[in-house]
Amino acid sequence: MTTVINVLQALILVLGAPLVSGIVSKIKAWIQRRQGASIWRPYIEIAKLFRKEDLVPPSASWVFRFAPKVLFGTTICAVAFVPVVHPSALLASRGDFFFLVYVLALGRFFLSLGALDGGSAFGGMGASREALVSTLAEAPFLLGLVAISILAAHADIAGMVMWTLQRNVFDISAVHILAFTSLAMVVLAETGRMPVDNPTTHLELTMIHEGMVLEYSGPSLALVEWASAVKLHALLALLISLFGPWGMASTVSVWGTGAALLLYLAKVTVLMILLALVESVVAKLRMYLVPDFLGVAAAVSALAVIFTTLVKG
Amino acid sequence: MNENTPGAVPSGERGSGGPPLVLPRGKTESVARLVTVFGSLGSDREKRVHYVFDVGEAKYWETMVAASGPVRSIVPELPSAAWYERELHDQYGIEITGHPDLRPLVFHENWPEGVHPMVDAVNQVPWASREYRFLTVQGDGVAEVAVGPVHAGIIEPGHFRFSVVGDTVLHLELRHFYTHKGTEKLFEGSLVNAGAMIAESVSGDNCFAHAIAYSQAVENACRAEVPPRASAIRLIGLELERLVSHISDLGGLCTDVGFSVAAAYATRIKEFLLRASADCSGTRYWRGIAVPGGLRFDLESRKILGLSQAVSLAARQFADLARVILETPSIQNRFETAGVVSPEVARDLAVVGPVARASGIDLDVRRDHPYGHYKSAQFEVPVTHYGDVMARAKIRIKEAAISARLIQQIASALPIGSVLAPLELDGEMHGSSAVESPRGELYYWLEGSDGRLTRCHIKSPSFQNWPAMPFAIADNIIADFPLINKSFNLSYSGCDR
Repeated sequence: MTTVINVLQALILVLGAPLVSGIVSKIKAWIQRRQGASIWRPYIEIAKLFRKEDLVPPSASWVFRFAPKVLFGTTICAVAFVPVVHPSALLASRGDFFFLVYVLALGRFFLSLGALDGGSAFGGMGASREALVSTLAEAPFLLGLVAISILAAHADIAGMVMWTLQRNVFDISAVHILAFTSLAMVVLAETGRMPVDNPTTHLELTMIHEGMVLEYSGPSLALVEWASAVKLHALLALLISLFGPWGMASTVSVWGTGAALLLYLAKVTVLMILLALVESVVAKLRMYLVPDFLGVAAAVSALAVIFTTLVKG
Repeated sequence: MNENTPGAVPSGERGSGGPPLVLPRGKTESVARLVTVFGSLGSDREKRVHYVFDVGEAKYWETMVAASGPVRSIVPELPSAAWYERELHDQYGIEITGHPDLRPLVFHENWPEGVHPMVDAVNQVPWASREYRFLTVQGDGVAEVAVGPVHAGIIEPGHFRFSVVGDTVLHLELRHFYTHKGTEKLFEGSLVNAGAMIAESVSGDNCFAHAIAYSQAVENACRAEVPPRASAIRLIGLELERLVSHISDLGGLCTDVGFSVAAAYATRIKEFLLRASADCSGTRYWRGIAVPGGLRFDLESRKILGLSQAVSLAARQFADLARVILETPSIQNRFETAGVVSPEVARDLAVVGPVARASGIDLDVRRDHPYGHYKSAQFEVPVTHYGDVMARAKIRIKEAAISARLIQQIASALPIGSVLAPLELDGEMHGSSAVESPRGELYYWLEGSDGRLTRCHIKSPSFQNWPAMPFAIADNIIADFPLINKSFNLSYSGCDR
């Protein structure tokens, strides 16, 4: 029964991901007083791309074709560590949070390689910027998770979630607040959202993620787009399960799981609204201020780790 | 003409061809501001070169030299003439001595050498493959980034060749003229009365300014007086065009830094104004309204008042929006210190329009060389000296407010009467006119005989301002280029003609 729920959780994250992107776009459109595209648009987009021809630059090697598949595979692998409605996950016992961080990094690494292999100037530019952002995002990402894992005395995500679930909502410590802040900043950087990267820009010189995927088309592009959506959804789910898991079904039952699912939808909606708001009220950072942004995230997460000694003591 | 200009300075002694052109002095500067350089053919098809300067008087200073042989370049004294002389070289095949860079400007690798469209027939030009050498920057870690002419977004085509170290731009070379349509050639032989339609198609979002500049040049050539009602309505159209353009520019700046809410709001205000102008004149961009002699048809006073009310509402909303934008810290961070055009560069390259006024050059055709209804209108010309993206944004915001005030002022006291004066088009004609378009000084020069044009030259503000772009982007990071480019808001079509 737990396995069924775990498979269900992974499916929610993977299949629901385009909807999350669609809803965020819709909320942003509303904030701009536009009608906006349908929330189902990303599904149509991905389905359309899967039916299209896959164009490969003549200079590209197998790396270019291989990269989107690796990216999608690693993203799916990361999903299998994230609890949604139940404090467990498909691969929970097979790896800790270090694995989660680096399996995502592996996907980025391959996408950067693919972008370089594509041979266009923008691919190279995007790849080098992505390398900068992901290098700098690594420290706050890890430290934020380390802080929680020290408190929980668990290194696997499901264990950390289980520990939080057993605490009271009002037991939230400074560690949680600091770790949440830094991880939320990391999510913005990792998923290429404002103010680090502009996912809707058409200006090739300012792109980070979009620059890397400029040469991709057809099914390859569909995989990349889908993987980006899954990554956003999975990281939002990770934030929810680490910092607000209350309401998750601790026992395995249909009713409990259903209620937990509804609660999850409410929580993810709140995060989507927050994301859309953040993306609407700030302009994109100057490229050389991105390290400062992530530097702040790193400092905050370091504080979170330091504060664990106080909370534990 | 040039002998009687007091204090004229002789052009340098470099090169060998022709007598040195005597450059006029400006009011304060040692050499007057260059407006344009262009060629024409005389009655015996002999080549001539025309120079137009702004010497600080209401009338432009114009001179002409025969170009049967090589012509001495004025670029060593006036860098702003560089592109004009290259264009002259392309169009007329006039040899220019002492010019530092005479690579083809208007024509690309596919255009055969030795074919000069303003002199030769261009019905069947064979496809050629010439070589174009970009300037290369050498050194450790210098990389070249080629951008365009096809871009990721739907924008006009232009090629940008950046030499970068990391993300910092050392040098930018522009390669434009992908939208060169041979408009000046197209004018040759066309009916004077039909020319406004060609002028309107030079640059889509400034079509009314182009139509007015053309029409005024014809009117000056015929010494015709435009009826007061027509010139008042022309002023409303010109200011509306500026208002729409500046609102759209500020929105564009916000789009380029991902500040989407403000961008959407600016787009809404712009659309509101375009619809209001469609209600008033039947056309969103005032196309097909201006003709030499006045206006093609009269606009109802009631509808003009309606437009004026819409303008006042839009201007209020735009002022609120502009305040929000300027008070947003992340916007300030992006706009300030980005893409600085120093006053020296601005002066050397004789930039015009909001770009010049943001770099401390107090220049506005409406005030300095008044035309039409501007002769009696009262308005101020904002100038600032920082020269960055923020300065250009602020100049546009202030100008938008002034334009809105002017429209309301003129609409409330609209003269009555006819809107079209008869033109006497027989015989030889020769005239010129300048208009302050939203992008800056737009100058038309034309010659014709018996109702047909023999030559029409367009000095577009974009052609003048593009060479300043590489100076603005140098030492900035390449990711800021789209923003800096947008803050200039230059037209490719208007530049390429």
